[in-house]
Amino acid sequence: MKTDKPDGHENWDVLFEAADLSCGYGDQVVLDRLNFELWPGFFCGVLGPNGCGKSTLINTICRVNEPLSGNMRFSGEELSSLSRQRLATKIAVVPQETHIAFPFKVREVVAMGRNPHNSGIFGAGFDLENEKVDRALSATGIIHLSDREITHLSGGERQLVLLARALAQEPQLLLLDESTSNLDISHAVKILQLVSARVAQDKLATLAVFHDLNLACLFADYLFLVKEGTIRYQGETREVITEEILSDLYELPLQVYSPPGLGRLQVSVRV
Amino acid sequence: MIIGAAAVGAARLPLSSVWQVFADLFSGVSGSVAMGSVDGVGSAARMIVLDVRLPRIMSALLVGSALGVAGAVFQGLLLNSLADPFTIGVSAGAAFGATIAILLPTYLVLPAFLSDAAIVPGFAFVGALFSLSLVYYIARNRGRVMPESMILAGVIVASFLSALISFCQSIAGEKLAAVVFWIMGGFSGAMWSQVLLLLPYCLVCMLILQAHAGDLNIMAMGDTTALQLGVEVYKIRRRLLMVAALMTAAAVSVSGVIGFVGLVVPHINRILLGPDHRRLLPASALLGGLVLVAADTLARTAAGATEIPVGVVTALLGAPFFCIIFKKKFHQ
Repeated sequence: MKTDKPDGHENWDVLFEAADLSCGYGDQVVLDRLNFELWPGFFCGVLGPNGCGKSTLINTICRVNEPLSGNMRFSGEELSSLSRQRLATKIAVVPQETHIAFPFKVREVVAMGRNPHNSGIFGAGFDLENEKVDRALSATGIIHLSDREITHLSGGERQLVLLARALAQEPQLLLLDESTSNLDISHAVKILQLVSARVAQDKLATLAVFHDLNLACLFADYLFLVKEGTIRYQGETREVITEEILSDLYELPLQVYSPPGLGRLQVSVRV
Repeated sequence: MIIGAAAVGAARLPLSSVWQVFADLFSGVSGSVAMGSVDGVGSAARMIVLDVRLPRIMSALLVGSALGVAGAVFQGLLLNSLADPFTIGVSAGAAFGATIAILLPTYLVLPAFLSDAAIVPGFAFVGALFSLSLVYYIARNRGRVMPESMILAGVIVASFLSALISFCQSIAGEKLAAVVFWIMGGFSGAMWSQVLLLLPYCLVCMLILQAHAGDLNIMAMGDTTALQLGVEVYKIRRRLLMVAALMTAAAVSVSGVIGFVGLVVPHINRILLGPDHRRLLPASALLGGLVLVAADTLARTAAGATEIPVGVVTALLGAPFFCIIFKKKFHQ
């Protein structure tokens, strides 16, 4: 099954392609034979109930988990043929939350994003003076936090640091694994706006796992709706965000409306 | 500091003659004629410094460095600030090996060249390797070694081996003192041959560890993040655990079980220098070496002619010192 590309984007190059991709752990199949594509300059979202395998999908794409079967291709190259270091120059992840054991400075954490680009025996680690580190710090507006210890930051600030680290990797594909789930609305919107800007300006491809339907509606151009191990629906946001589809997905009566002047759909629970 | 340490001891030598011995040594090495004995530094002083004290000081320096670096690596790998080089049972294995070696002559007639001094370090090293393989085998799961299972397996293996050691002690008879004394740790039997074996071995280990210092920083972010940042976490963790444990095994087999250095030296450095392992590892080598030379010098001089086990010195002085630093840092 080929993905239907959104209108007006038939000519877009495919950056990432999954064919009959099954994900899971050992004998347990979490996601069964998925077929989908991701495109440069496109903000794609993943929605679905808890435990449907959204995070498993992210972890399989960045090869923290090996796929059970199927193929993944990145710019036409077999994903499994890339070394982990090379892969990290192409795909970066902003995790939900990270426990950080040692009090590294913000600049040091962001500089870790340069690690996949470093080579040489003693070159691994951080290259603190790198201008790309500075650029990532200023792009996310946290240059004033450079010398603070990451363990002393608020949750929202810490998430900005992790986004800066991912941007310092200069990836072509950015994965957000519920990166904004624990944040207040202003930090969540700030992070998603920063990512949207990269998608628009640098033609970054993005796949973001969302819990918040309204944030997904605001930022995602294209959505994959996952349930019971398969992508049950996919399409442009305004096409798949319907009361029928969402009620089926979450087994809850949901109301879709279009706030005047917003240009995007929003969802609320019908009680 | 080394010169100072070489000057004090049962026979007290003036600093100047120790300096003279060193000066002779280095000018001798550089090709000019060694004039030491002619200049009035007695050959007895020369012998005490070069054959007795210097190998001992060098051993302490090397063992201290090895324990400091291994401690920093274990704490970084296991993401646990309570980890030290002995967390995963290496010391218990070494102690068991040494115990066997000390008791062996009671039951077997050994050829004369296999004196205690020759076989004890060898047995200790083999014992350490044995416990390490056992821990590794237990902790391994589908090719991956997780920090928690490594610590757990280490505790289990160490308590089993400790029970075996206690059993051996109960049947040790007149050798009991030798066993207990070895386990408490010390450098009284240090020889140049040990130093010359240990030096290249530890240097190679430290270089390998230093080459992965940047990876250690990234692995401190957690396995998932490190994998996403392009670090081959499982492969590198396996390699670092092995190298650090092999280095500890060699150190322990020379010196016995000297606690505290490997736990506290990395902590002090982390407080002073921050968590970057690229600075932390060399700093821990330096501080570990200096601390152990100082502790050993105290151990052989503080109580006159009797030696205090050096492990007792490190813990007695190190614990309060560490508490002061710790309190100061966290009450700022």
